[in-house]
Amino acid sequence: MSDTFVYYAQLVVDGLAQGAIYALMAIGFAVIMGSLDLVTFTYGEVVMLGALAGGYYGVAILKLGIWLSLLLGFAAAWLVGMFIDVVCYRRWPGGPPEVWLITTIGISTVLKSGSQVLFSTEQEFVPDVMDGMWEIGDLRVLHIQVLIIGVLFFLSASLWVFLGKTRLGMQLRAVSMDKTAAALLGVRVQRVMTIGNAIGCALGGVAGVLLGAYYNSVFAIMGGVAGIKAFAAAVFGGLTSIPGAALGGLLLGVLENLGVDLFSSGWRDIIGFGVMIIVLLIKPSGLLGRKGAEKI
Amino acid sequence: MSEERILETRELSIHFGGLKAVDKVDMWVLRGHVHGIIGPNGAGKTTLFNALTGFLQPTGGRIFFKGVDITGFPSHRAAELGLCRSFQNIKLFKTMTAIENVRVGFHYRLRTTLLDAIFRTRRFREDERLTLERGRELLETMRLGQYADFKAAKLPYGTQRRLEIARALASDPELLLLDEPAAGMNPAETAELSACIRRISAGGRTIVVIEHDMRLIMEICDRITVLNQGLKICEGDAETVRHDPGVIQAYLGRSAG
Repeated sequence: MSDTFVYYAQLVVDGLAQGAIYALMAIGFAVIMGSLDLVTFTYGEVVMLGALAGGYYGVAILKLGIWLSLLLGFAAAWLVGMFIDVVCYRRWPGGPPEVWLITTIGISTVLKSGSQVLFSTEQEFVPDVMDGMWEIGDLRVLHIQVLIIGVLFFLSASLWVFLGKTRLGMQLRAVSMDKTAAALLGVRVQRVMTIGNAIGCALGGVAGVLLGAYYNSVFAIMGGVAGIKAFAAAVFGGLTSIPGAALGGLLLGVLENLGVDLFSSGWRDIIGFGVMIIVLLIKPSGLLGRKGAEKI
Repeated sequence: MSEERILETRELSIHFGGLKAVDKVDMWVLRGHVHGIIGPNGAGKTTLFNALTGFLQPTGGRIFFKGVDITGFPSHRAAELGLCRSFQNIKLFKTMTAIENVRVGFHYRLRTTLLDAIFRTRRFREDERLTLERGRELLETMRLGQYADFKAAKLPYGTQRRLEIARALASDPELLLLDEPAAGMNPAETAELSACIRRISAGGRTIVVIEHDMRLIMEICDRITVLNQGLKICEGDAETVRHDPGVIQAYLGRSAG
């Protein structure tokens, strides 16, 4: 293998691992938007709280190991999702959508500032959960990178089966496409929306734990960039399409990494959002999105 | 035929501000009947349906379904009791296939959990078999068998309407409300629809249908209620309604006699 080839292959591998985290965040985001028919602005904070619970308390403080920590992140973010549901959505049923939009912005600020007050304003260290690597020639693949991609595959496959085969999943898809028709077939729309939102948040929480473990740090304002990256990846893939979100996340990760190589690391976020803007200009429905009602 | 009133309204009123969309309507539907609701545009037919299925809160009066007072029940409660409807504007799950649309209608009976689906347990296989077999049967009833794997949005208009009825049937309703099922259909499609409605009726379900296609109404209905400007102006079999001076006046503007 030539050195140049290995060099770029390495960039792609690292990009895929990072992209897998984006993908998981974007999938959660797509599930929430599909269930609620609404963009939420608290998602980044949900990711942050998942990272805080699983990455900091799970891995660093309680030393639960990565699997229990992922579970902790999932559960914590689920609960945060239920809280957001009660505070932001359930209180104003049938109101104008702007109300939800504004309340999610408000709650986002409360969660972020609250975490700074109660947790810390500093970056907190998260120790390595696994430090091994495989070497294929000169190519390095970290164990944690494989873990991240594995978690993405496991969760998206589970989600796929859940949506396609279970009663609740079927109801969730029905609600995402047409709430009126779903209600008429006897679906408890409100309840299904609550659960859809919680599932989406929980996926974001897991992504947060992975983020903390991969970069060895969690901090209270990490949600800002995380939330926008999730949004960018979801837009890339078609906003509410789950395969689209997965593909969008992975591509975004790889593009960012190649771009960082081309320019410098300061350009990382510029590249990410540049991609989003270009996608919106050229194909607003995203890579796998379709015009109209394509939802989860 | 039984004389049980499966559906009954007592002095049902729905007002929008000063507009009396439905005004003190007393009507009932007998179990096993195909019951028509007709009237000129703006007579309050769809508004009446919306109140029956919990989409509108009535201003006054009560609604009874199988003797239970369901006034103001949310839609899903009415559906649980066995009341389902189709819409004037088609409300299918557009990007699902025809068979998937019908399977959503079955969601009540599904017991599969995520673990069942992953490990393909017996419960999962039974659910799959039930929904697929019964789903295909329903599609056949509505003459939709060949469209099972087509995306709903890709189907011709008349076919989409029949699919909507098939989906409603999946929830196994005792009373089916159809809102202008023949709207926009050509005569051949209407004839097919008429045959489908008769088959459903023969299967023991009660059907209430709003329709502008008079030939269809006269053909399939056992009893007909005529509304005009929110008021019930006539009720009876096709013959009675056809010759009622009030009905003729409502449709033609003045007495034909």
